This record gives sequence, C-alpha cells and structure tokens, in this order.
Amino acid sequence: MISVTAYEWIGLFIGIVIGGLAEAWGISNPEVLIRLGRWKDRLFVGCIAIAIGAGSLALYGLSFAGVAFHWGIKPDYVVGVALGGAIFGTGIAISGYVPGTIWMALGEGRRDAIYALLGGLLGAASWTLIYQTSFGQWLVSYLNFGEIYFAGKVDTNIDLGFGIAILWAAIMFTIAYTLPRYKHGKSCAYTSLHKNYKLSPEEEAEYIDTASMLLEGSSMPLGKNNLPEKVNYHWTVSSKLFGVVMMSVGIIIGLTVVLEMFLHQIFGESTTYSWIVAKIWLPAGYWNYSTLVAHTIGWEPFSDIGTLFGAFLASIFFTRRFQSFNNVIPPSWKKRFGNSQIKRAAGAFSGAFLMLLGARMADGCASGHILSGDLQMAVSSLEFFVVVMIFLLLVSRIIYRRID
Amino acid sequence: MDKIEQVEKLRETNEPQVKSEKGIKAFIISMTFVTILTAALTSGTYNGYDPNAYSVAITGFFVIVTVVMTAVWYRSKYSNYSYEDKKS
Repeated sequence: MISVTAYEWIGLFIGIVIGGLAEAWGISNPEVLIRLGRWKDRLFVGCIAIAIGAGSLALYGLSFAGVAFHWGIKPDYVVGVALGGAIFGTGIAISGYVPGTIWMALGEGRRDAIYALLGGLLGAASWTLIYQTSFGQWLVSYLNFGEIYFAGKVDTNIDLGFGIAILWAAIMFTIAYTLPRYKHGKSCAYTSLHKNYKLSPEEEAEYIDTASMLLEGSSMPLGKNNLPEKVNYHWTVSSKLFGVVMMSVGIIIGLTVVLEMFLHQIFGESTTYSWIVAKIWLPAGYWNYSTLVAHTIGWEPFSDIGTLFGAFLASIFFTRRFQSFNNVIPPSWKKRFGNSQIKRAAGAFSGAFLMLLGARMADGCASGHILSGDLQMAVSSLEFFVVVMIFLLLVSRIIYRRID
Repeated sequence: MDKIEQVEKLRETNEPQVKSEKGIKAFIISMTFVTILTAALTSGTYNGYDPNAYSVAITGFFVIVTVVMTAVWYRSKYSNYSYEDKKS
C-alpha cells in the first residue's frame, strides 16, 4: 500500500491551484452564484460535475490499485445535514457567496467580501455556541448513520466502490454534457450534434452580459489582443463546458482534490472560520466544538490562505479582474435592491452568517461536502447538495422574482 | 464584426492605456516567495492535524499586506479606475 502524509504548509499550493482556477472560472464573483440561484447561468453545476466525475474515477481507481488515501467522508446525521443544507442554500441566495469564494473574492479585491467574512465568522461562532447545547448535540446524533458512502462504510468495499464510481462519473459527465449553461443557450450535446450551430442572438447577449459582469469593477485596463482578453471574452463565458479549456479546468480541480487526499486530507474551506473563532474568541478546552476543530483541522488554514492568494495571483496575471476594493454591487442585487452600499453590506453579512452557520451545522460546505464529499460519493454530501440546491432555487425565486 | 467583438472594441476605446506594471508584478512575485518561505520555515516538517496558529497568522499577514499594497498601487496608477459596462 502506497501511503504519504505531507507537511502542513504544502496545503498552501493546493489552495493556490484551486483558488486560481476557480477565479478564472469567475466563481469568486457573487453574481455567478446568484445567477445559479435564478437558474440563469448553471456554470457552477456543470463545472463541479466535471470535477466530481473525473475525481471520483481517479480516487476509487487508484484506491482499487492499492493507493492509500486520507478519507474525509462526513457523517450522515440526516436531520442536521438537511437543516444545515437548507440554511446554507438560503445564505448563498442572499450573499452570493460560499465559504471558499469569500476567500477568493478577498484575493480578487472585492469590497463586499470583507462584510461576508465578518458575517461568516459570526455564523461559525454561532454554531460553536449551539453545539454546546442539547439541541446541537441532538442535531449531530439523531439519525446519525456515520461515515457512509454509496458502497458502505468509508474505506471498505473499494472494488464495489470503483464500479459505482464509473457509473457516478458517467452520470456527472452526462449532466455537464446535456445541461445548457445559459437559460437561453444550448447544451454541449446539442452543439456537437449540430455542427453548423451559430450562437443565437439571445445566447450572444448572455455571453456579452457575462463578460461585462465578470469585469465590472476591475481596477486595471484589460489591454488588447492578449491572454486576459481571451479569458474574459471567450473562455469563461463559453457555454461549451466540454471545450478544451473548461473541461481541463474541471478535471484539474477534481484531480487536485484527489492529490490533496493522497497527501493529507480532503479539500475544505469552512472549518477555518470555526478555527479562527476558536483562536480569538471561543477557546478550545472550554467550548467542545472549538476543541474538536482545533485538533482535527489539519492544513486547511494554509490551503485557505492559498485559495485567497491563488485567486489574487490569477486576478492580476491571468484575468485582470483585480478590483482594488472598488465599490461594486452584483448586477442582480443592484436591480432588485438598488445601489445602496449599506444594503449590499448587510446582505453580504447576513447571507454569509446563515451560510457559515449552515455549513458548520452540516459539517461541510461547497468544498468539504459538494466537491470533496460528492467526489468520494458520500451519502451525507449528496443529501446536502440536493437540499442546498432546492433552497438556493426557492429562496432566489422569492428574492429575485421581481426582476426575472 | 460580431457583437462580442464590437463590445471588446468599445471597451478598448473607453478604458485607460495600459501602463508599465513591472514594479508591482516584481513585488507580487517576491511576496509569493516570501509567503511560501514563511509558511515552510514556521511550520517546518510538522504533518499532523493541529496547526501552529502563529505560523498561519504570519503567513496570512504577508498575504494581506500583498493584496492591500497591490490595491493601493493600482488605485493610484490608474486614478481609481473602475470598469463599467457603458451599455448598462
């Protein structure tokens, strides 16, 4: 059996790779997740499906071949995970952020990410307090089936797991292939079956709108005929998720998570908020959740710093979207709530508060559950993803129906 | 010329000229090495699951300094430029 446990600071590199690629995708921009909630732009679903498909194949294939991994399947306490997912989805609809994209947005120099960070820390602190109560204990113990995945308990039945992983990857790739990225666009399946397909005026308008939204607030000129121009006007706005660039980015992210699991642990982003709370406010030793987090978090604080730094480097050298903390309000939010900075700050703060509270309650977020968890085919992560999507769509519908 | 190209041209004519950014880019690359070196030296060969808070704090501090210094530099270099879509 091949087994490795890397030094903690190596996590910095993992974060830099994932943060940089995700920034290039545009996921650090809260408008992207708000548009996902409005079911207008499904980039996140398509990209994450490619990463999960490629990652699960590699993970279970290598595991079957005798490579040891640091598994990180989250326990499936049905009620707590569902309630956490519902709160998490609501928080995304309001703020447009998930825990990891707050770090990326800070690296991109987005002003509202500062308020989101503060709200997130308060949300994490709230869960540390709730965990100490009998209600908190009930949430994490009632109907708790432990660390299970589609083939049984974690790190068992790997041969069956590999078989299911092939099927799981096929489902993920099918979703990415058949789901049109844009509301008025066509899927990859359609465009590959219609070789002479040309962008419709509606789809072209979506491309232009997305490029403008991604660049809005950039504090640096883009320049002419260079790589950033290609990235912003052609690669990241493309609906071809199976195109070379989009596909490669998805696969690299999936394989990076597998590499991280080989080296040290799964890729997560939200535990660091609880860890910071434990270090500055609710100390380990007295608060049970802080004690748990302080001794098990691993290299996540380093990988989170890497995520921020990777997004920063990408926004300077690759996409030229660095905002220098300019006043930028996501277009959907602006249309619905106006230009007020105070309203946006309150939305980012309160949304991130809910989102982190939900993430800690469910023991994971978009990274620990949706990316790393679904890549490991964890039952809890699938449950979390389904509930998050339902509440994200539902709450977005309520909030943004006036502008849709 | 398709619509996307028209939008690109419109942006090119409205945005300020790109100036030399060699200085700030050299600073960022140097700080990248400083950050990685700081994390490596302060965290060392530890590979457990209870990270050293001081190591994380100093590494994070260097990253924050880099981001803030860069923001100040770009704001002064391009006179508080902020891209806005002229159509919207």
